[in-house]
Amino acid sequence: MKKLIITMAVITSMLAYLMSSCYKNKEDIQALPQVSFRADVVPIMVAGGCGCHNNGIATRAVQFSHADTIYYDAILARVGLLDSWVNGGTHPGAGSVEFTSTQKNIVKTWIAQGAKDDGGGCTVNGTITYITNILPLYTTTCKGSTCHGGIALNLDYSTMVNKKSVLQAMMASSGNSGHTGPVLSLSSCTVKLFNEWIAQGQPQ
Amino acid sequence: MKKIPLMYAITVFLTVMLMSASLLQCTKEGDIIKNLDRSYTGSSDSAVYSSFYEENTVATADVVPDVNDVIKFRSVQTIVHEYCATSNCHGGPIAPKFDSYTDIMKYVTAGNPDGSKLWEYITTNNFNNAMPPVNSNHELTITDKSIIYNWIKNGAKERPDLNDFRPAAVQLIASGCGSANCHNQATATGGWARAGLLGPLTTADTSQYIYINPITGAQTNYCQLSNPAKLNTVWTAYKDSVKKFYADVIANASFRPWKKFSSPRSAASTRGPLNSYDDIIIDIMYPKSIRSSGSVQYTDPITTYTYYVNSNFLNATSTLISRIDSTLLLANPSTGVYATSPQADMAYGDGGLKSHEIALIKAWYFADPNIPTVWKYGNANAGIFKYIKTGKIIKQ
Repeated sequence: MKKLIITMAVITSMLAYLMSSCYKNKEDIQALPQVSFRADVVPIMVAGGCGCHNNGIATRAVQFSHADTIYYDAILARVGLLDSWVNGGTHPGAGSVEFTSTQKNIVKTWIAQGAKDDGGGCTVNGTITYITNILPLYTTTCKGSTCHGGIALNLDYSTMVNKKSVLQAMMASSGNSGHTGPVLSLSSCTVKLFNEWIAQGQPQ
Repeated sequence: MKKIPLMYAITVFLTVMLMSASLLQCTKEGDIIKNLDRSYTGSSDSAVYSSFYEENTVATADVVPDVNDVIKFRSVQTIVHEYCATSNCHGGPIAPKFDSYTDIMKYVTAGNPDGSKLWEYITTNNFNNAMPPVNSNHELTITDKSIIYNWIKNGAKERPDLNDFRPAAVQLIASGCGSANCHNQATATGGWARAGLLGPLTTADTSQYIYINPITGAQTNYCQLSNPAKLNTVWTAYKDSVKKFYADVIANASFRPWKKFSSPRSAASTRGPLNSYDDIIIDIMYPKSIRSSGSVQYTDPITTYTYYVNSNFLNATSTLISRIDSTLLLANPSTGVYATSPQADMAYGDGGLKSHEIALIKAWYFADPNIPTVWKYGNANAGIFKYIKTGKIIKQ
């Protein structure tokens, strides 16, 4: 009798433990794992000590970061170029710049999953001015020796005002049309900011 | 009919219930999980620096390791701690422990990821064996899997060595410094090509760049040789002449590299290419400041060509390490005279190397037997690198 009681106690304990354990295997997962822009992609985009994309000065190449600030828009706008590169192409700026096979795999997967930013959204409120809001964005995401200010038109305030309809077309399509150069992928943050600036009369 | 004791019946009932519960518990199901793919699609990638510990101090560090003496990258131990050794799992009540190198090595076959239990747990698509448990919604990222994969593949060592430092450092330099308008073949060989070494060029051989200074508005037009085959032809010929000349500067005087990077000939020099391991070694052994001195070193009496190449390749006041590490002073290897201030302009002036990247490059530099001893420790181990803080001279 004593033996039976002990056996039952052991079995009951095991059952209780199993039912309450961390292996709740009947549950579905909440979501499929995604490549993280911040954790996986950013370290690739800002790596390489002398890399021209993270020196905070858009004199040689379009900027992807400066210090701790990541320019998601600048990277997103070049998804098409990145996609070509990781699928057999080369670095758009030539040279010996090359992703490792692991980095290519990460970038490829990130693009396939929608090239999203997991770093949070943006808030656009108050008066939006060219000097305070538009110029910093333009400087960090549009300027470069092979982009605006280099091989393409430099967009100062008056030019940007004159190109209002072009900007509107670009924002209406998130960069898919309207841009004289290659097709862009503008983030919702950028679109929101430019639309609000235009709506406010493009204040300087 | 035989009478079954009540307690016996209850025991059998509970046992069956336990077994059923176990089986049911082990069934992963759901609309999302059916699309989960945990397999690793990458491959061995030695350029991914993978170390067991988060921090490793370079062998030549200052008395108290300085800021550029600690190699710090995301590590295997950190990843295992985050995903496995949490306080409610293998870092707490659940065995086995996944804490120390010894603990983890029980599940690793060095050099063979596919034969390692650790690798199987984190990549298997048999969800019943998966770790972390798939329904914990805590899957390892591709980056983390690649770190573990390469660490095992590279030998699963407790501390990294040259085989870990070199590919990562070369990737860092070649990819970070070798863009089209920096330390690239195109910047160095374009002038040579224009000087006629390749014969007539077509527009297909070159790329055009326009730069407008954002402050002054001044426009500069760049034209670079971009045909890879022609770039290699010119650059290989240049490197050969450098190697031959310095092998014996008297006997091989005719191989003295003739620098003509622009027309008319100018002392102004372009950046030395750092496109490959060989380029980097050349740049260390014969620094660009020696290969293309700022003043005329020799004038050919017949051709009147002026050469900017210094015959004494050790008479240098700048080298790769001194240009990236601000904690060190360089002594001219020929004269033994130390600089009075650090350079490190490549660490801060053009995008910047991070401290842990500088440390990685240093670890490789002093471990690599292909870098001549004189460029590490000077002549007769007198030393050429001195820490500013303590005055410690790096010696063999």
